[in-house]
Amino acid sequence: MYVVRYYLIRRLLLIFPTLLVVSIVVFLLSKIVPQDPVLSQLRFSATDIWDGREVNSEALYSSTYLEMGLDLPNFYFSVLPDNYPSNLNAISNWQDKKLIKALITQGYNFDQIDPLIHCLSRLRIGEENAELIQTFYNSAIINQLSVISDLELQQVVAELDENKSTYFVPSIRWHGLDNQYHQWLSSTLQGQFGRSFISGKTALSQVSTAMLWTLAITLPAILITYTLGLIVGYVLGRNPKGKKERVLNHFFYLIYSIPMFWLASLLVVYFTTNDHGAWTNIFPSVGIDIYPGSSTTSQIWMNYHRLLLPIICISIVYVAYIARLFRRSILDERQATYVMTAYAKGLSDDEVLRKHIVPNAMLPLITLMVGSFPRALGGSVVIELIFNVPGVGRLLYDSLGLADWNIVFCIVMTISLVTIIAYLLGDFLYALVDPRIRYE
Amino acid sequence: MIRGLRKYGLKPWQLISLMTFLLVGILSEFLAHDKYLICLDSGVSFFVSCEYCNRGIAPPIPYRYNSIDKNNRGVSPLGKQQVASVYYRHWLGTDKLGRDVLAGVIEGAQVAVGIGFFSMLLSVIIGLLFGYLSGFLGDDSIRISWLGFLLLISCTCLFLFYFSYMVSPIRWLLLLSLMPLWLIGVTFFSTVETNKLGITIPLDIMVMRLIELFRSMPIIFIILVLLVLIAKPGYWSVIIIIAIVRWPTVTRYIRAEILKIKEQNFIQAAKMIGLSNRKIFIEQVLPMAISPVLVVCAFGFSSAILTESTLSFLGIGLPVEQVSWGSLLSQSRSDINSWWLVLFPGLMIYFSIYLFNTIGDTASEYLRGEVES
Repeated sequence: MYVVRYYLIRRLLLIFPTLLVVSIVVFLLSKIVPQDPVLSQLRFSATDIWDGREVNSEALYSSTYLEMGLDLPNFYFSVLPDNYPSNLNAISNWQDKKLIKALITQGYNFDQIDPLIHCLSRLRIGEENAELIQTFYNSAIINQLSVISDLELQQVVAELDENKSTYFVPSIRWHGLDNQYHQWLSSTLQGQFGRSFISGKTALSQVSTAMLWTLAITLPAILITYTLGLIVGYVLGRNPKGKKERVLNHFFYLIYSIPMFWLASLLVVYFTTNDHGAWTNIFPSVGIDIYPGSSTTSQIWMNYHRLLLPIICISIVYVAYIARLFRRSILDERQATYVMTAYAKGLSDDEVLRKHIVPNAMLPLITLMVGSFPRALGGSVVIELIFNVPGVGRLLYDSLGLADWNIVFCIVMTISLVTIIAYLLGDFLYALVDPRIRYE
Repeated sequence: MIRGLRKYGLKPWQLISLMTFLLVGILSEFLAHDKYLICLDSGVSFFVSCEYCNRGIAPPIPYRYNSIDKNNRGVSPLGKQQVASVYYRHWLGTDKLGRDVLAGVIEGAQVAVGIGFFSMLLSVIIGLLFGYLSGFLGDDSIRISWLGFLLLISCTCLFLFYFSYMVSPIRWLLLLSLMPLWLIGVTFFSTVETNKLGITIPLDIMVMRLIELFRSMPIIFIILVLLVLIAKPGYWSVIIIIAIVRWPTVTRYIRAEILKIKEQNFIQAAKMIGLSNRKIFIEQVLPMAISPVLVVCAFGFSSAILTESTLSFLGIGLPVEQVSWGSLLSQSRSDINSWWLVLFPGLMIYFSIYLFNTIGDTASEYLRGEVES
């Protein structure tokens, strides 16, 4: 047991670095996806600019950008080519940023681009050059500027061309604690996940509501799956060579391969309408009734008849899976030498099965069962989409599409934490139940 | 090859269905097309439109997956159809736009075969590589000098840096081809004996940590982020995404199998007589690992088909104009009364998954020694 305890303590300590790495990976992923968080924020908060009126949209964009704290560097340090500015995020004007990025990738140095931007913004006020400068902003081809006869501009362009380099070397810059990741991490550690852009609610409350909906489906499904799965697996493994068992085994194998989204579609098409005869209209039609004002738990309770179909759908596929696994496990245990010993003691078939084989055969299922809880928390996007349940899977799916990263962070970090703890718990239970286990 | 697969206990019906599935997928363009396959009017020409050809070889199904029959929109396979002859009948009905479901199902087979095969191949290659690193080499096989270690780290960092900021594709390719060579070179030339000064690279721990990192994030999050990252996903990006999602499972399985093989006496003996690691792996371990790899391939195929059809069903992944089983099925969501749109593409997904699952199962039973060859 000493070795096991040592192993488990080491694993327990490893939770923190793993979570830290997950948080870094997820955060950096959110920074490199080609989505503009400011635009999706504006789309839901200020509808004015999308009506075509464009109420000073550039200034609005910049102020929202600064408000969201996007002007800070992404991480504690950055490794960038030497012609990059130390903090590209500090440029809040998206047109300028686009131009600067395009010019930097062509090899121009940022120190010379900065005066160019100033010069252009001065020239843009005059009517004559505005169109030319706009085309330059879109194409980022320096030669186009030669048409404009402005002494200062030509000087800047000449300097720009002079300092253009064909190669670049990495330069490492240290940004200190004043960066977006650090701010996000420290507010997360205080339990503040921020707000959703879309609904304006706090991420934590929205995610916990969604989790209640998801658990309302997945927890009963897990209960059904493991009870029925173990019973069926026991029946199948009791007499594996029997004719009835073999037919039943194959039947469950047929069920096991059914894609869940197909089963769900079939159930919806055949069992929720009157089209195929009145007797097939067993279940209520898809969708959730929202009763405004009542709490989530009471809403779930009032919708319970509508959650039956998704629960059945998930259970059918997983019962077959667990049953087959348990049968397999029983068959494997039959080969063990302790079974022979048990027979030699004079135990009957039934006693050997119940007292010796089944307890041992259930061991591999422990890890599986514990591991199914984080999956249950995450929900299934397909099931939630088909049955229109406002669960975690659908929330994650929608939030990612709309760049609502506060929600995404909240969901992913919660599920990661639960997953890591569940795997640890699985190992711990396994060691507790089976004294033979020695982790090295 | 058939005899080879028979050796692993595969039943004739599995082999026949497998061959049919692969053939339909590969020959989909010749099975369902709205043009004459071969026109014999004047000389021999291929894929000629019906209006310009009188004599020739027509495909078995006179519709392509994207050809639209205006007269038959959303017709049921059992209902009345306005067609010229039985040859033009829509055997599995049509969707709302008037596209033939049978042609769509055949096109879907092509997508399933292609995406299933290539993503399975990719994930098995990654799995074998990482299985070799973590299962076979393990934590204490590779010991390199400090100089080699520093070179390795700095070059990997430089490679990653230039890889992410390079613009020209030719320089990319150059780097891509040079870097692995460099990595292998440094690793092999700076390998030192256990008693010399150096650092042991814990390959097993590194790979297992990476897998743990992958497994602690929800799969759907990984898929969705990758899809957003790619911005315009196509055929090959879906293959790569499926392989990225799949490789941890494959690696864990192959690693476990390699660990089992490594325990056996003849491997120990080969080590005793001083054969090199690579030689032992290629000549002794790989031949033993064929049937686990076969198991992984079969399950990889079925899981790739499932993932691809799920993604297409959700309307993400493959481009909208690409017809696949999942996208056919997803049409039933807006059109709940078209039972044929749910039934037939779904049956195809189901049968292919079932087929590959049974093949994988038979192969793993063979692996346990339950099937006599």
